[in-house]
Amino acid sequence: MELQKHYQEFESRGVEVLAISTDSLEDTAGIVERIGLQFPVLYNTEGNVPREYGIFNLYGDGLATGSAFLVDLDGNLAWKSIYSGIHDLITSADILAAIDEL
Amino acid sequence: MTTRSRALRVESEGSPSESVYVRAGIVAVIALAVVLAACGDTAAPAAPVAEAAPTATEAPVPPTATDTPAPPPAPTPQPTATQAPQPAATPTPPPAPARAAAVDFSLPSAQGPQYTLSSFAGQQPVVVVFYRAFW
Repeated sequence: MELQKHYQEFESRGVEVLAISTDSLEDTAGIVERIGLQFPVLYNTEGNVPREYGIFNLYGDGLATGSAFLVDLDGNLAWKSIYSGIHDLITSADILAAIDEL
Repeated sequence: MTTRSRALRVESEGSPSESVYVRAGIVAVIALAVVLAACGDTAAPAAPVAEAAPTATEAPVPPTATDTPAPPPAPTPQPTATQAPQPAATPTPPPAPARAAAVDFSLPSAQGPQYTLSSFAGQQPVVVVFYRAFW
């Protein structure tokens, strides 16, 4: 998910990107600093948020499954995409297309 | 002689009278024929007209009576019953899948600030991404 590369396209549409990691703060901060991510990367070590979104441990690896959720201006879920295989990676283009349909 | 003459006379009298009857009969037959012919001509045209009238009158009546009552009652209740549930079913699905409230969260970020999803409501849409391999 090449979010960093396309982040400006999200900004130009007035959409914020919130990434959520279940890694520790140290690991998450390290990734952010190393890659130079511009969008906020939240950490949720307890993993309760991915559980509440129904995408935790879908593949038995004890991790949050790669997924994207589009929340509209009213705070409602308008679109979502959940990773279902190596050939079905979520792309920024998919998310941007969903935003353009809001 | 007398008898014969009588007979002859009778014959002679009968002859003229017979011929008169015959002529009258012929006239009567002709007259009857003419009358019948006239009646026949009159009846012939009259029959078709009379038949045409009832046929035309009876023809429209049965179909109209059969078509009119049968279709209207059947289709009218069906569309009404079908349209009633459809409108109710159509508006129900759209709101359900499209607009379920997103689960709120408030988490610290690696960059420092705390972010609360609900604080973006009314401000801007948000893409919430769960990913870890590479950003």
